[in-house]
Amino acid sequence: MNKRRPYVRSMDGWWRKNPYFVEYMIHEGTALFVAAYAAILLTGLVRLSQGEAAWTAWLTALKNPWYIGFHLLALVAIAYHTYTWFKIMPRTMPPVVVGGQRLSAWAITGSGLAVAAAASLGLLALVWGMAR
Amino acid sequence: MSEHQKTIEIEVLRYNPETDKEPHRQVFEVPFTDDMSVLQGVQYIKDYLDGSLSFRWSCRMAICGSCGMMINGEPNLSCQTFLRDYYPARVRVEALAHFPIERDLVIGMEGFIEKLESIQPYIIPKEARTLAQGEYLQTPEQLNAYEQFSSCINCLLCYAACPQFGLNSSFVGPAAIALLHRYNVDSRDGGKAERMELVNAEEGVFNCTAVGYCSEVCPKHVDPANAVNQNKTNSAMDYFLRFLAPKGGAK
Amino acid sequence: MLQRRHPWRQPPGVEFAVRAVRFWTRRRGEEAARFAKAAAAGNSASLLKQAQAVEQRLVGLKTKTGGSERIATLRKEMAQTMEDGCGIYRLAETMQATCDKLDELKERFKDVNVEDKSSVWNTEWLLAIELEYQLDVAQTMAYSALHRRESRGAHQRLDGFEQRDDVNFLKHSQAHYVVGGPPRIDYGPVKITKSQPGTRAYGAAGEKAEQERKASHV
Repeated sequence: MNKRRPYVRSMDGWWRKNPYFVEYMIHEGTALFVAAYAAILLTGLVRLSQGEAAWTAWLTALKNPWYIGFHLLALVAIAYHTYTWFKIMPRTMPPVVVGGQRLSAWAITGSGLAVAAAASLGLLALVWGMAR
Repeated sequence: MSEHQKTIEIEVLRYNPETDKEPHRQVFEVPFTDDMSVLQGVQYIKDYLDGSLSFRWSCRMAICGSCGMMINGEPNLSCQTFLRDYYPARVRVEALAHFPIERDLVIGMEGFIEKLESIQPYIIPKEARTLAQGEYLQTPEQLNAYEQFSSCINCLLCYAACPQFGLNSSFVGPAAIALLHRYNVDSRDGGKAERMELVNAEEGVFNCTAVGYCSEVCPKHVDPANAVNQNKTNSAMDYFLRFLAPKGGAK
Repeated sequence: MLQRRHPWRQPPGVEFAVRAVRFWTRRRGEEAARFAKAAAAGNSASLLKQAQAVEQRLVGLKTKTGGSERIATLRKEMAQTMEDGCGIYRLAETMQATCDKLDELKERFKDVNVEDKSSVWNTEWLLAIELEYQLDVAQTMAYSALHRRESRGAHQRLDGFEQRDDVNFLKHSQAHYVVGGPPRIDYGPVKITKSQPGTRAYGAAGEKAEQERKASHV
C-alpha cells in the first residue's frame, strides 16, 4: 500500500504573505486609477462634442473639491504605477545590446522614467501655455 | 552544550503523511555560531535533536539546487542563508511554497519533472551532422544569447515565488520556460516550432502576470521572468505571423 | 547523501563531454547485453535468497528498538579518525589507530538507533544504511594504506617509506570483505599501458625533469 499523502497548502490570502506580493497588488490596483482617469478624459471628450453648455458644465464639475482631491490621489497612484511599470520593464523585454554591451536593468528603468517625466513636464508646459 | 553557548530557535513546519492530518509547527533550540547556515541548523536538529526530520540537501554550496526552503516566508537555498542574519530572533523554516508537501521540508517534484520533459530540454539539431563533420561552431554572441538561461539548477525557488503557479499548478512555470527559451535561442537548435506549441498553450506563458518575484529569488541570476515575458512577445508574433505565412508558426 | 542529478542541464562546455559519456555508456550497454545473452542463466532461487537477506538486514536496522548510538556521533568520529590517520602525510602508528577506531565504530554500529520508523521519505534510515557502507569503505582505505609500506601519489608516508617502491607495491590493493572482521588485503597486478609511474616534481626539480623528458624525446 502506498503511504504517500502529499499535502497541498491553501493559497488563501497569498498576496498578504509576502511584502513583494503586497507591492505587486498595489501596482495592479493603481491600474484602476489609470483606467478611471482615462474614463474622465473620455467623458470630457463626449461633453465637448455635445456643445459649449455641456463642456462648461463638465469644467465646473471638475472644480468640485472632491474631484480635485480625486485628481491628487490619482496623481500619486499613477506616479506609483509608472514607477513600478518601468521597474519591471527590463524583465519583460529582449536584451538591448548597445555597443556590444547588454544594457543594464537600471539603464532601461532610468530611461523609461526619464521619458515619462519629460513627457509629463512637456504636457504640463503645453497646457500651462494654452491656459495663459 | 556549555552555559555560554548561544542558541537560536528554529521553527520547522513538520508533516508526516502517516501520522499527521495536516502540517504543524515544531520549535527546536539549536546551538548558534555566526558561521552557521540555516541548512546546518536543520542538520543539527536531525543529527542531535530529532532524527525523523526530513529535508533534501547535497552540495552545501549553492550548486546542486536541492536545499530550497521557505525561510521566514521567503524562498531561498538554506545553504546560502545564514542564521546570523536572524539571530537572536526565531527563524521559521517551511517546505517550498506552492508545492505539495511530501514529508516535512520535502516537496513533491513530479509535476516539475514532467514539465521539464515536456519542453524538450536538449538541442534538436537544425541540420543533421555526422561526427566526421566535426562540432557545431558558435560565436561568443551566439553563446551570450542563451548562456544566462542555461545556469538554472532546478532549485524551484522561482516556483515557490510564483503566485500564478500556486493558483494554477498546470502553468509550465519560470524555470521550465527559462530552459525552453535557452534551447529556442541556441543557434544550433531547430526545435523552436515544436516548443512554441507549449509556449502558446493554455498552460503556457500567458499565465504569467509579470509579478517578477521569480527573478528576484533566483540564486543563479537566470532571470526566468525575462524568458517568460520574451516568449509572450514570441507567442504573439507566432500567432500573427501564421496569417502571413501559412506554413510558418505553430499549429 | 540525497544526490540529485541534472541530466537536463548542460553548460555549454560540458555538452561535448555529456555526449561522449552517452556514446560510451551506450557502447558499454551493448556489450553488457551481448554478455547477458551469451551467459548461462543464473541460479535465480539463490539470487532471491541473497536479496531477501539484504532486505532483512536493512529493514532490521529500522525496526529494531533500544539502540543507544546516534548515527551522527558515529559518522563524525569516523570522519575525524580518517582525517587523523589517512590524510596526506601518514604514519603506521596513526594509521593503526584509525584501523582500531574503525573496528570499534563497526562494533558500536550494531547498537545504532534509528528513531524514525516511518515509510515515507525516511532519510534517517537512509543515513544509517549509508553509514554502515561508509564504515566498510573507510576500513578498505585505512587497512590498504597501513599495508602499503611506500609512498605513492597522495599516499605520503613519513616513517621510513618516503620513496615509491615499484618492486613490492606496483600493485592494486584489493580488500576482501570478511564477515565480522576487518577486510583482508591482498594485491593484484597492474597493467600499465601509456603512463609509466614517475616522480611528479615541482619547481626547479620539475623544470629539470621536463627538460630531460624533452631531450629524450628528440
